[in-house]
Amino acid sequence: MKRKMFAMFLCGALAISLTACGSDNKETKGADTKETKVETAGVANKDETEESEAIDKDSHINMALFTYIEGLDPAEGWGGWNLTRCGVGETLITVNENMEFEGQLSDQWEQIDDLTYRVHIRQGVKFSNGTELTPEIAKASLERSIELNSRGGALKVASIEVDGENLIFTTEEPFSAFIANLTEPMYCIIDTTADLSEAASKPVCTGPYMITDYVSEEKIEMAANENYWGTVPAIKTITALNIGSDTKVEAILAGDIDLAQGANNTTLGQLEGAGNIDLVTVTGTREDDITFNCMEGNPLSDVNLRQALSYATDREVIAKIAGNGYAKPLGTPFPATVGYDSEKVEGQTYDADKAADLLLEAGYQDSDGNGFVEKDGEELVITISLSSSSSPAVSEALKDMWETLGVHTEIEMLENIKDKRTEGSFDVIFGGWQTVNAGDGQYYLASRWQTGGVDNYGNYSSEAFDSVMKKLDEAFDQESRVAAFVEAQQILSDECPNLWLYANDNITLVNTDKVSNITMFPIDYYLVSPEWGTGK
Amino acid sequence: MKTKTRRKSRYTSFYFCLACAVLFTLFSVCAGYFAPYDPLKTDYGSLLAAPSAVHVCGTDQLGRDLFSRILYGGRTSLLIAYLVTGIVSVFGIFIGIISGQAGGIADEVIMRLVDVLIAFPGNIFTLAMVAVMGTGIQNLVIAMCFTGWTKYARASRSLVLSIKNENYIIQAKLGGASFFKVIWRYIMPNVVPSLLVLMAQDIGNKLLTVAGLSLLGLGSKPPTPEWGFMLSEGRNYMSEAPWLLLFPGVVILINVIIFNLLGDSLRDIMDPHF
Repeated sequence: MKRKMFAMFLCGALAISLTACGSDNKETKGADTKETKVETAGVANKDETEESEAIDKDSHINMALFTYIEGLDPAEGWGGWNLTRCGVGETLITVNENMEFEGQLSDQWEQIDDLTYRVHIRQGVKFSNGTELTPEIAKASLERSIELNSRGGALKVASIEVDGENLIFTTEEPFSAFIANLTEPMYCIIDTTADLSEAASKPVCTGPYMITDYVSEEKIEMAANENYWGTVPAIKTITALNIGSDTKVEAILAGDIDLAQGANNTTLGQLEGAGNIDLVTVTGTREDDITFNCMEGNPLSDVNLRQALSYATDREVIAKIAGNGYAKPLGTPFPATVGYDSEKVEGQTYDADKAADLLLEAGYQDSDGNGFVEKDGEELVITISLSSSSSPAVSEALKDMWETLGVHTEIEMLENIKDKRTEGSFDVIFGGWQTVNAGDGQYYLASRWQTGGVDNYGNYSSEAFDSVMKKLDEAFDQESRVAAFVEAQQILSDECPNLWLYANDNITLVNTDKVSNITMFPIDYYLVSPEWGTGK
Repeated sequence: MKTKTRRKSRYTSFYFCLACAVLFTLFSVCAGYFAPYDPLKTDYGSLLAAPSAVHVCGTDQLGRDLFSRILYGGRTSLLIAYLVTGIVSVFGIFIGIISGQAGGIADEVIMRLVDVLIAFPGNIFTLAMVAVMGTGIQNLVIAMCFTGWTKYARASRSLVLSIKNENYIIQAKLGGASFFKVIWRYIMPNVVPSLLVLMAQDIGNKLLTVAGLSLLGLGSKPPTPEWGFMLSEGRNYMSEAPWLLLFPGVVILINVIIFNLLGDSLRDIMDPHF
């Protein structure tokens, strides 16, 4: 009996405490809701409050960038790409949505001779802190990027001089892609007279937006720049959130973000039936490929073997697996849409018979009948290295195709792929690259395949290719440049230092209720523009 | 009478769980007989096909039959779970018994070492080890063994301490039985059965750890099927092909439940109160 009484007492106590908790919760919740706020603000202020809330709500958007890069200093790594994507940083010259050069902080420029360029600085431009843009500041900012950024050498600048309202650039050697290279976001002009210790988190730039807050690995907050030299944007504040490409679609459907660049292709199916979300695609300028290690001593230094693997690769299938309908197979270094006459190049194709012949020519044969080829009694094993966080689907398909040919293929998943890449201790490695890095393909070719190029991880070296690159640098008219591009592409397609697999579409998801008037750029490091409207 | 019925129901539940566990293991071991397709055979014509009469569980991103991959995947997943549990339990129990029986400095040293290892959170330590040593099943097993034996050592040591001063042990010693003979003949038979419960439940835990690490890409090498890795691969297709997550997920769930229930029912049977 006593026990029962005690149990009843406990139940009663529990019920009371739960009720108490419940009412507490209600109160706190109530305080957070809009109604309570309006009530406390008083009847007279009600309309005003609602109006200002409506404006705030409409003129703010959240977005997810193509990739969330750490840091905002154009002189460090890829920080400049954040600045151009966010509409914060501007370069002297930019590339528009039609892939044409357009003046931004410079209103006119000319080439004086093979080595000299005169660039006129736009007058009346102010930084977001009110400082006026002068040629001296532009010079200091450019020199800072060239000196500090590891990619600065690619501009081949010998000197920069101030001449009145102009900057005079002299290059080390004839360099036809000079103007194009000036559009690379690492040459965003920042106010060098401001506190440069904050350059990585709050650089002072000239774009339509300015950085108000930067939280590493989390978000970049921006507000409209009232000192902007063009039209001050209608959307007053933007937050760029760090959201992985796998979850961008979920985030926009949930209303957490209003615009997303670079959502994972395989997740796009969820958008069906979501009427207010527009999927805007523009044929991209990015490609995905694999790099072969061409270093001497590696079996892949044999061009016949590389060609054999290339012919054994069915790019139609790979594009289908990887792109889910949003990628096109690619057999040349540049996608045809970039405009370097890739259709004139005899690109890499699928031909199982040719692959088998070439493998035999390279001296590989299956002598022990285990289904895999050997040379001098030693089985050929090719290892595909990829990051453990990336999807292995394409590697598995490659393994399947190459093993059908008879080449034993292994897949290695690594926590840290970077070291392997820089050390050159790999057989096959994946990569995805922007082919017209600065509105021009010269940098992509030079950095990846020229002897000693900064991104030439596969240690490919070809005299023929190097001499075409020299020819390209010295060719100043468009026709001979395109001819050089075709020649370079042909050499690469033939010698297979890489296998080009597919070109992704550049996909942007837009909530049309919140944002309108979007300009789509083929180059994904451009995104925010001052013309964006506040939705329907 | 009541006790008898209870005991009977406990035995029923034990046999049921055991039968399920044996069945799943058999299916995996004999996957070659049951699987309708080669688990590695790609079919680029039917990528991400929904479950149908042709492919019971659908196909994956490379057109491989998911049902066959799940059957073969059990080989890897269950093999690792059994192997790791086997190694850590034998090693842990051995160390624990030696420590408990020997006492003195040996006991102190061993137990402090165990304390140090227990101080690290097990799964995170395993993850760190795999990340350092490199991915792959071999390294995964080594890392899991390295962290897993301590609880067996502790449990067996405490069991040894509770019986080491029993009369039959003292008598055996007086009768001239050697150190190892005492352990083998008199201590082991009294200690091991109680630890069987721990082992059965541990298989479920290990299965989850393997799946978790494979999900992070630290386990088996593609294209070898493994349940956790299949989940990892299916992640990207969650909206388009939910069956890629559903079936391996359900299989992991069922197996973990079976091994946990097996452990529970074993404990109930061995409980002297019933």
